[in-house]
Amino acid sequence: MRIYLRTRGELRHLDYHFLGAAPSRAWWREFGDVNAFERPCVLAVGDGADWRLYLGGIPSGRVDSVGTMIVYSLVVEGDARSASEDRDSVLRLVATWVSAIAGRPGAEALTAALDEAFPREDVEKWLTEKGEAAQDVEREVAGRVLEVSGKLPEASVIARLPEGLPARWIGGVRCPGAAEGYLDRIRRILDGEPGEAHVLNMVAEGEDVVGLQSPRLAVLIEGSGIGDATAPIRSLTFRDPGGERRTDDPKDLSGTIRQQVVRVAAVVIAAGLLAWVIYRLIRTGAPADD
Amino acid sequence: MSESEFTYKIGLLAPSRVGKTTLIASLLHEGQRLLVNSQVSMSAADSPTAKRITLTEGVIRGALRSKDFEPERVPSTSDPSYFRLRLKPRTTETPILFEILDYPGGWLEDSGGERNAAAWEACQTFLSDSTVLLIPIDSVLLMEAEDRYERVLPSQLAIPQMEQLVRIWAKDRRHNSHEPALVVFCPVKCESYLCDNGGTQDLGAELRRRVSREYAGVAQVVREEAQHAVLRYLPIDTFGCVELKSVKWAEDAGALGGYKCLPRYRVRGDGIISRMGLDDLMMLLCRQLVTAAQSHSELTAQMNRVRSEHLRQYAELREGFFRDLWLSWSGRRAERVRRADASEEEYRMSVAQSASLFEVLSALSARPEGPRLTYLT
Repeated sequence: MRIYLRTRGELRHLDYHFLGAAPSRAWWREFGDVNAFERPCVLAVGDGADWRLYLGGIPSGRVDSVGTMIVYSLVVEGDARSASEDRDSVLRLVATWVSAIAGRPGAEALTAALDEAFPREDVEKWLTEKGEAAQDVEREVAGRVLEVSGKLPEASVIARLPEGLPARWIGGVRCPGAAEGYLDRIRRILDGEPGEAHVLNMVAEGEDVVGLQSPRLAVLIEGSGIGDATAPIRSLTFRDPGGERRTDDPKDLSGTIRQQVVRVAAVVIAAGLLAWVIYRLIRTGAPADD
Repeated sequence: MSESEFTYKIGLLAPSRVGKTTLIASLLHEGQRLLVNSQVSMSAADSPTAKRITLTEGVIRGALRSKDFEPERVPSTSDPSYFRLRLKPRTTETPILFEILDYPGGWLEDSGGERNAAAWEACQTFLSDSTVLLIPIDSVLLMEAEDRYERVLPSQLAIPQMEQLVRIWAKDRRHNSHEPALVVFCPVKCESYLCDNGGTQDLGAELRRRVSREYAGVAQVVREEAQHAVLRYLPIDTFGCVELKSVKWAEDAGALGGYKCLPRYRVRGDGIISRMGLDDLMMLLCRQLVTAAQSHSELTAQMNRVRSEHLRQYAELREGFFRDLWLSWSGRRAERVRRADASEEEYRMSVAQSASLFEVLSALSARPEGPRLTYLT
């Protein structure tokens, strides 16, 4: 499992960079049409083997040269074989941050723990670290982030998981049960299930995320600027690979498959009937054998 | 961005914490209102752009709620993002699309660092392809850096890096000399230095003198590499209701130049936003984009005319009795005439479009410019 932390320094020229090494690919930018990365958000993508997470907009107590609040972005990349304690740590970080986004107490604890683990002097030194030194910094950063996670409360909210969530759904982060359902989806992704689970800040309704085509998708609406954080959970539209047919949920595709079977059967029966009629006509028109 | 043949880029060149995002969002948020009685209308070209504008404007309004302006509420940019806009001249069906790239200003200072080199390269390509270059300037830093603090200016304003990028841009403009090219030097946060919008002191001349002095090298590069480029100067009140309360300079070994500037702001009156200079900037951009579209359209019309004449000649070409007979009999002559007619129609349409854009341009040019907008000589 690899952990990367991005933040900026107080001084004007120390803009947002990862401390030490950076992820090999800025995969989160693919979500730029539905999310502003400086604001509170979570992105999680799993392909069944590997998974990657982006936790953005986590406030720091530090401010920059013009008094602007500095934020942390955390990128974690791993796979289902990552140690279960590590996955628990990641889940705890996500749970705390989602809980804070939902307006529950917790943001202060995360901010305080991160600020304590990453004092200004270290941040400003590591922002400019290059080459091999950057690799050492990456290890140090990962260790400190795991320590931060250890100080956070257990992700107990998962115990109250709502029943019957569809495979693809969207809901406000403050809607009862939504955060719990979301964290359950995160846990599954960390365990190796394919799917996506995001807390997005430029989304107001299901129509805004039609471009996200994972068959298993959970979206929480952040709600502080656009959209309603208390919006009820709704299943999301799904466009099959052909791009034509749409249904409310992938599980409804089973209904579509049933319809197709009925259609094929009807065609076979009609063809058989037609063949039988033609046969009868030929038989009727043909001269008698004797 | 493929719905129009007229697509342009507007590049912003400024280091971190100058206020690029705020300037873009304010410009685009007010754009609709500013263009009400003009020949063009403007709207977001896609939903992410509309939402980005709403989000940023919401944050700005939130920051103005208390008596002390809280810039900490306006987050700085960590990843590049695009604002895509549609400019619709009232007399033509074809919209003019334009894109503005917002990016972490710190990338300008360290070329993206080794961790964002690829993303910064994409930003540089965007900047060099831009028809217009906006250079927002932190007027507070510029005006408050006096005596021994003056030496921080070249590094904190990222002048050397800017000269390098402007040279690339200007060379690119020279190769596209049929297109108009514009550079606008925009000092922002000017509320405390100009007196035409509620301010108490008029330091406009001094501000302009300092911009000319610090950016002389940048202007020189443009003059050397792209002589047809126009240089304008336009100070902007980003909020209109925020003014400088105090400035402290602190020694810091890590800061560029060894000192850091620590300004504090207060909200003037009831905190009602009254931006100044944005209307002129919007008009300047509109005129520039319509001019670019019109010259593009004229070029297309010329090409269409040549093509149409050639096709007409070909359609009417006599090739001998038997060949002419065969062309008529096989329908090939009719096909040639049909293609010539279609091309002529295309030519007529491009002429009409060019004329209509010229009409819009004339109307936009007739609008008087505000006293803040001047040429930088």
